[in-house]
Parts: sequence; C-alpha cells; structure tokens
Amino acid sequence: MPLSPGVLLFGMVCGAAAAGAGLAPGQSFALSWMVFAGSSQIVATQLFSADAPAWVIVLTGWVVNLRFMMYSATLAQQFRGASRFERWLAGYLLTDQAFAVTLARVLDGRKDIPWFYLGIAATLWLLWQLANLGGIYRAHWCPPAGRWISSSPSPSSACWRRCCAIVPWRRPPCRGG
Amino acid sequence: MLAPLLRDRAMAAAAVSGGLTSVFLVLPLKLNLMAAALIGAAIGIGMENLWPEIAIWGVIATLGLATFATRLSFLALLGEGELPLWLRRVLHYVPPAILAAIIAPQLLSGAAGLDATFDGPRCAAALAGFAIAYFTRSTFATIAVGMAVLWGLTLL
Repeated sequence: MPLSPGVLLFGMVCGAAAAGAGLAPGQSFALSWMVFAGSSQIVATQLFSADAPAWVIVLTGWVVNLRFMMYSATLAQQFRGASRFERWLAGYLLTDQAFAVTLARVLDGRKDIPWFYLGIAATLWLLWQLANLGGIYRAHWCPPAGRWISSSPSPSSACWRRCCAIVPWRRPPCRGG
Repeated sequence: MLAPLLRDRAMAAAAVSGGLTSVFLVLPLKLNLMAAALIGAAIGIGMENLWPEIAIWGVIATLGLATFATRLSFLALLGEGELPLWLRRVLHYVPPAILAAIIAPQLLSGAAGLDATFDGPRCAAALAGFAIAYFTRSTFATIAVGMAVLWGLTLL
C-alpha cells in the first residue's frame, strides 16, 4: 500500500518523541493506541515536556482531532445499517489516511465500502502501533535527544534528524488522496 | 464533617473512591462500608506516592476517550435511519473541502500560516499527479507519476 512508508515514518517519530519527552514506554505506547492520531500525539508530547497543565494538554490534543467529527459524519452514511460493533470499530480506527482512501472509493461509486474501510483502517492501525513501538525502543536505546545532533554523522542519524524535524502540524509525508 | 478533611488531592480521591465503592458495590451486612474504607485508603496512599504518574495516565486516557468520542460521534448517532436533508446538503460539500485541507498543508514548507512558502518539488508532483488523475482516473498511475516527479526533483 503506497501509504505505508509515510505512516511508518511518522509513527516512529511519534513514538520516539513521546519516549524522548520522558514518558515511560507504557505511557508512550498508551498514547499510540488510546489517542491513535499522530499530530495529536506530538502536540500532547510537547505539552507534557513543557509541563503544561493537564487540561491544556487534553484540550489542545482534542482540538487537533476535531476534524474526525467531520470524517465521522461522512462515513456514517456508508455505515448505515451496519452493526453497532462495526460502527464502534470503524470509529476507533478512523484516521486521515483511511478516510481519504475510502472516500476516493466512495466517489468511484463502489458499494463494498464498510469492509474496504475496515480492512484499510485495521492495517493502518497495525502499522501505526508497530511504528510507534519501534520509535519508543529506538529512543530508549539511543543516546538522549540532545546528543543526536553532535554525535558522529552516520547515514542513519542524519536520516533520523530529518525525521525529528517534521513540524507537529504537518501530517505524514504521504499523498493522502 | 467530611469537608474539612478534603485538604489535598489524595484525601479527595480517597473520599470519591470510597463513596463510589459504597454506592456501586452491593455486599451484605454493610460489608460495602468496609470495602469502601479499604479501597479509599489504598487509593489515597497510591495518590500520595504516585501522583505524577497517575496524572500522566489520566491525561492520556482522557485525551484518548475524547478523541474516540469525536471519531464515534456521527457513526454512533446516525448509524440507523435517514440523515436530515440539511445535513446531507452540508455533507455533500464536506469531502472536497476536507481532502483539499488534508493535501494543501503538505504542499507548503517552512512555518505554518502566512509565513509558509510553496515547496517546489511537492507542488510539481501534485500538479503532475492531478493531471494524470484527471485524464486517466487511475490511482496507480497517479501515485507512480507523482512519486517519480517528487523523487526526481528532490534528487536533482
């Protein structure tokens, strides 16, 4: 799937950022599967490391995710008549990429939307969790954040620095539509 | 009698958890009072020792639940029955607006907002991809050409 490299890269950045901000591995991974939204995870991570008040972290992280309400409204038309379990699963798995790909298929006039969506969304979920785990463990056995830049320039560390330079408001570098 | 005791977070948490336990845990012989005392005390001790940890977990769980509720909102509410006409009219225009909103920020580089500048290779790739998609309607051709343009221009 053409989306996977971007998802994997951004997931590793999110996992590494959470671990680098001082969250325990379990907490970093909880961000990954409870929040499951890259930009929101990065924002929350930054506010955690800035010692922001709890309500600021929750509110800011949530506002970043308000767009899911619009996605949800559009998807709901496709999931009319689906079982409650399917609808709740669809809601939990909802992401920019899964929505964009599914919407393209809806506009193509295809009828198999719920199963197509759930398949894509579940695959993206799995990739995301693996990438976050990778980022978390990478950050835990690498030198602490500040020292990456001054350490001897190997190809992988140069690549890593570029990954960390992704600004929080930017979505993963993949073609959404 | 209770209010003066609630001097700090740990005391308040002990009170809340004790109260909830006695209400929701149904045990014979007033054993629920005993259970409430034990659970309340355990939570008070836990809060005293582990407050920063608990706060972080609380923030993560709250943000997670809020996000889940946002994602679920319309899927859960409108799963059955017809959408009202006005909502369908509004939603008709949502997809192109959202898709453009997902794509547009990726074509820019630098700071967000008015300071952003167009990212040359990405814009070129987007235009090439758009042209291919418009004329061929093939997703694969669009991605292949778009990525080829992007990588070609980035490597130059």
